[in-house]
Amino acid sequence: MVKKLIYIFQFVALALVNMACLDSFLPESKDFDDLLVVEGKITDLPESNLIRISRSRPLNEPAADFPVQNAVVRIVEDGTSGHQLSEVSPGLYTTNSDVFKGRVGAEYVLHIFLPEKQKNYISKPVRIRQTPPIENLYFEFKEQFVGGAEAPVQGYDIFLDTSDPLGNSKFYRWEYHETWMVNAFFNSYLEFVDNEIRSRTVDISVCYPTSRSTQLLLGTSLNLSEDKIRRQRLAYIDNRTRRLSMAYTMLVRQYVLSPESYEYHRQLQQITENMGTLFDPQPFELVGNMVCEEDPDERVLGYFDAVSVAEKRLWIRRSDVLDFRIPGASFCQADTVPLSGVGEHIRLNFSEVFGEFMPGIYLLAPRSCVDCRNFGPAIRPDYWE
Amino acid sequence: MKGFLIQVIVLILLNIPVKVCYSGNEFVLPADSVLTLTEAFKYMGDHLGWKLFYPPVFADSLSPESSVRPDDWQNYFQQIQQKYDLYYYADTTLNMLIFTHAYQLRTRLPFGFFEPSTIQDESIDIASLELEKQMDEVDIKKDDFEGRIFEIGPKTQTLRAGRASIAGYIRDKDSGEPVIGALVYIEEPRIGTTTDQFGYYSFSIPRGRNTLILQSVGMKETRRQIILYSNGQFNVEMEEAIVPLKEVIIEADRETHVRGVQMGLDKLSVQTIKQMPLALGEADIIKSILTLPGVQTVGEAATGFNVRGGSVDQNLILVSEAPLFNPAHLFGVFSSVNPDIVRNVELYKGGIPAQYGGRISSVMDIQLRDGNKKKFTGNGGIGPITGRLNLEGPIVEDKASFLLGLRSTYSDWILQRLPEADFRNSSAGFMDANARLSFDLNENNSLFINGYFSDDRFRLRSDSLFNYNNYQTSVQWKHIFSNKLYAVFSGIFSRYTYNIESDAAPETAFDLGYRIDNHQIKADFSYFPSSGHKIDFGVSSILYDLRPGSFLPRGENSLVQPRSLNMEKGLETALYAGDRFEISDMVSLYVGLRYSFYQQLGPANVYTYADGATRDQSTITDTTRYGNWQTAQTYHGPEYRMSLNIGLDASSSIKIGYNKMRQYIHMVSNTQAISPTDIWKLSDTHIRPQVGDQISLGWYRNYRFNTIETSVEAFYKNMNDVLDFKNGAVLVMNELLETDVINGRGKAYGIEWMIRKRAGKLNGWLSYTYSRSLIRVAGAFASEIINRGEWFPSNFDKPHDFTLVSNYKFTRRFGASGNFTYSTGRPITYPLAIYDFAGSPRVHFSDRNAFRIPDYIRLDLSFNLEGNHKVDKPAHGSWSFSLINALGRANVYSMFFVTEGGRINGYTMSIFARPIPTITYNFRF
Repeated sequence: MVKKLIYIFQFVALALVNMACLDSFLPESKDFDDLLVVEGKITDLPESNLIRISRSRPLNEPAADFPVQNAVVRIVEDGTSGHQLSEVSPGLYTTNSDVFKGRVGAEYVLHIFLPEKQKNYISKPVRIRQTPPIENLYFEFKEQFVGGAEAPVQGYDIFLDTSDPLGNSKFYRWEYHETWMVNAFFNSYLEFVDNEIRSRTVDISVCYPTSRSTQLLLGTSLNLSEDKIRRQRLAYIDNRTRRLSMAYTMLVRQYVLSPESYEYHRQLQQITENMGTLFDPQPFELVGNMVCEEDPDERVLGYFDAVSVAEKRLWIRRSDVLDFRIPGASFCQADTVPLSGVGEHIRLNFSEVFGEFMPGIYLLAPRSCVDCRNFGPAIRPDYWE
Repeated sequence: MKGFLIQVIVLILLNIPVKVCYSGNEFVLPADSVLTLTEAFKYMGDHLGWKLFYPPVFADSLSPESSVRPDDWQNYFQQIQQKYDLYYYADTTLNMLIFTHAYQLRTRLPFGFFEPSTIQDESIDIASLELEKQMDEVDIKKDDFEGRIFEIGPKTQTLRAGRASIAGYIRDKDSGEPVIGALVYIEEPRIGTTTDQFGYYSFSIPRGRNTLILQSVGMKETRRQIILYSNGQFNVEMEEAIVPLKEVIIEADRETHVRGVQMGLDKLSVQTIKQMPLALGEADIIKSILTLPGVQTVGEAATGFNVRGGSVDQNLILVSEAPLFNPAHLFGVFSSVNPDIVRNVELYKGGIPAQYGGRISSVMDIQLRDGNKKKFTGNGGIGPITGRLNLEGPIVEDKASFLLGLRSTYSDWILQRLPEADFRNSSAGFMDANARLSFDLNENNSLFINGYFSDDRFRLRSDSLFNYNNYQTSVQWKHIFSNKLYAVFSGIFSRYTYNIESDAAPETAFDLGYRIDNHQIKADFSYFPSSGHKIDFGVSSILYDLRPGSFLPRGENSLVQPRSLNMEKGLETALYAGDRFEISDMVSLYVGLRYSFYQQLGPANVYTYADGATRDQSTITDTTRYGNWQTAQTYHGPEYRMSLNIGLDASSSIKIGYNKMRQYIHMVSNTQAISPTDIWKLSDTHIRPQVGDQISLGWYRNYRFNTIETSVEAFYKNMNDVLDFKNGAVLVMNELLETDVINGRGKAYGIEWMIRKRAGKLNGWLSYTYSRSLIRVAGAFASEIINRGEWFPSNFDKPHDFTLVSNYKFTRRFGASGNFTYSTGRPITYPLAIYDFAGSPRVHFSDRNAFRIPDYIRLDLSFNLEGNHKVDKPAHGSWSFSLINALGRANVYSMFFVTEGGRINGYTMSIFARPIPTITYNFRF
């Protein structure tokens, strides 16, 4: 409902677009706040869970967070059994899936000790709630105008339905992981190595790029008489990407959140994703559920959560959807180059050999038209059907 | 001889073409034929030896039929006088005849022109007055009111010494509408008053012969000779100054600026408002108000306005006495009051009189016109988005009139220009309608009936409809008990509702509604006990009835759980009295007291929260139920009002004002700009009334015969228990609003400079304000503390504000206006750091309102072209061309950061980002 209001106000903002304008600008950094950031969740899946610890960075700092290393990270289940996490890469701590797995109904507390600062951070206790299965995952065609484009963009909305007949769930969050297959425009059976043309050993014509959800996806049935979520939109995939050119799959994870966790994520969504209306709410400092034991006033960003997971996978095949034109295909034109010129052509034009036009004369094309590894790994994932 | 000189001077002054005929050729008067007037004049000059002065154009065109020949010229002219409105003056010593058309030369100065009347303290023989009256009235034309002498009050044989009261209405001669704010005075002794909102005046003057002088903006100055016998009524009609000759234009308010005890009051006539450059073709009351010192707004698309550091809900906006809850159309782009039916707008920023109460910052009193009591007229206009039509006329001539105003969008002009097809399929529109009936039942009773309705709707992607409405009805009965006492009894109803319907998915389709009703009865008395005093007193009672929210399923398949928040009821009663009196020629004082009393009424559930814990659903320890009409909580308190004017000399004065105000109804909003879905909330057990105190000090001086006004006003304001909100609060459909509300304190101070030139080819004003508006929220718990409990700038804290409003008339038909505004950018909350969370970088905000958006600079221009000025044309048209934001500066409305597609993007939004031209056609008939 709140979202609905936001749409309306965005509409008004856009209604004034003729007169009004939206300019992007590079934010300049004012007084920097250097704060601890904690993100991670315990799940009931048989996999290792990640806790990421870092520090915030100034506004104009493009790089990733500054990782916090050498922290002592522990998870305590129901106030008794503890489990120590190990740092697998700077700032990234993982559970050992052989000995630790989240359990529905159990309560977890995250402990972090920073030896350098001699400070302890502790989370509020989080209990894992039972997550009902995803009932339905489906896609629908939709044409829409995006930005100031002349022609509409064509694409597919991906929707989700779920429900909890017991009515205990109410607060939902989703994340997804998507994978799609791309074909190189030219199938390459040759490669140019050490000034020689030879048969290609690795197939670079089929690749599998992946991506994760970047927006917060939240839903609630709080206002409804039944604990049902209908037509929850997760993503819009349009013909400006190659996602639907061959085959596409999306693995959706559904979590049931506690009211506190839902509220945190909703507020985060509000102040970081839903701004830009005529009637923006006042943004504010949002802190999560971690507290510094030595200094309770210290603000800690991020949230530690513990959830059970329901998963469902969606497949969209080329035959299911409209035949989209592959973006950038017109850019893929082949050149014929004698062997002596191949090396220089590759160097100057970032091209790649893909075939033989006639003996001694080879076909070259821009690298992205030949080598699909520009988009993602050429390794077929094990879940690929 | 003296008389002749005066006549000649008068003729020269009036610039009437005079032809002088000398004796000339022999001319034989033709027998039995019709003479032209010129021929008659010629004959008289040639044969009878007169020197003649007459308007030649007039004489040429006339051939009067008269049974008498010009030989007997006196009879000849007596016969044609009536028909042609022709007058003459004969000076037999100089053998001179002066002819005038439509007016008569008076050969004597008005009584008492050179010597002040001395009748104050002695009784006067009535017979001598009678005689004088008779002498004066010889040869006086029937509708020459200025020449006549009016007798007021029951005639007595002898005239007692001392004063008597005179009261009555000043009306417009053409339309019969009251003239508000007209100055009515006598010069010796100097006593004066101004007319109120009904055009009514009352004051006490010495009995006997007096000359009443009446002045008002846009009206011809007029005088009335009166003999005041005892208390009586006297109504005067003033004429509109359509084509004034070389006369001095006198402004009604010219002296009130310095002399009036009221301070912190700004008046805008609707003419001023209409002269300003029009945004999208609509003259706009609120946008005009923003040009006054001390009045600000959050931005170009914000509803409402901020007065002297107060929030939007602290302004009481009255339209014909009824409160208006949402003054904006199209989310703040237009005002919801149709300017065509408005007579006058008054904004009280400080020194608020005791008859007003209920909001702590300001009162904006919008008075509507009554409608033409003489003839049927209308006007209208067509702009790019809206069309307007107003009709008015008599129901019973001179007794009753009606006024109808209608305004509506007729095109989705804005929406057609949208790049997104989704929005092209949407619709947006608004309309408003006003009706006003005025009845003069008899000389002591008048009745006014008002109705108002406004409607705004948006349909979005055809699956959700957003809609909001204002409704107002009021009935006012004015009764005059005596010359010294009159009363206005009012019954007022006002409602604001909004509604959102959504059909996006059948399972979640809903209907969200909100409604506030305001029922008010009040009686306002004005008492004029003796000279120098004007006492107002009265009583008012408002019953509020709120349906703060209902959330209902829409359609059969909707799973939405029907939910309604408990209704809220409150009764706000107030008694007031105020006296405006002149202590001496140089000192006048207003003192007033208002005592307001508020009851929260049942049905209500009042929750008790645990001590020592922040209010939360989990800390509720007890619930008390109150039945219907049962009092759950009361608040009351005095509100003191005071203004003092100390004249320094004839053209300057110092004023001091103080007012205390209490407010029992609050707008609940956590957005930076006020949105139409913000809700109003009544004071209750947990939400205390807001109390504001303001003290102001001003220095006023007029220059150049009161044509240039200057002023400096400083103010300091303290506001207790202003509402702020916990971070992230959801205010719509919130059952426990008190758990999300924090009480804060506000303070504001500033100094306002203004120079204003009211009359002349070039007029307008220039103002500069330095002011601050600060808030402090320091509750007992962490969630109730903002910015560590320190003072921080409010959303509308704009320290520097410079405004220039100028109008220049090149010719009578062609004029140009320019408005220039500069102000400091408003405060915003700016991110201080970035961190990664949920797959994207996100911003971290720190202190609220610690930074500012760039400064605001805007220039608006407009050119107005009037049709020709023939008075008797069937319809008059005018064109208005405006260029909003002529500098094309993309003034930043908001600055924000969005995490999208795994990145943080910073944006600035501008509303009028480039010059926007519009053309409007206006007409009246």
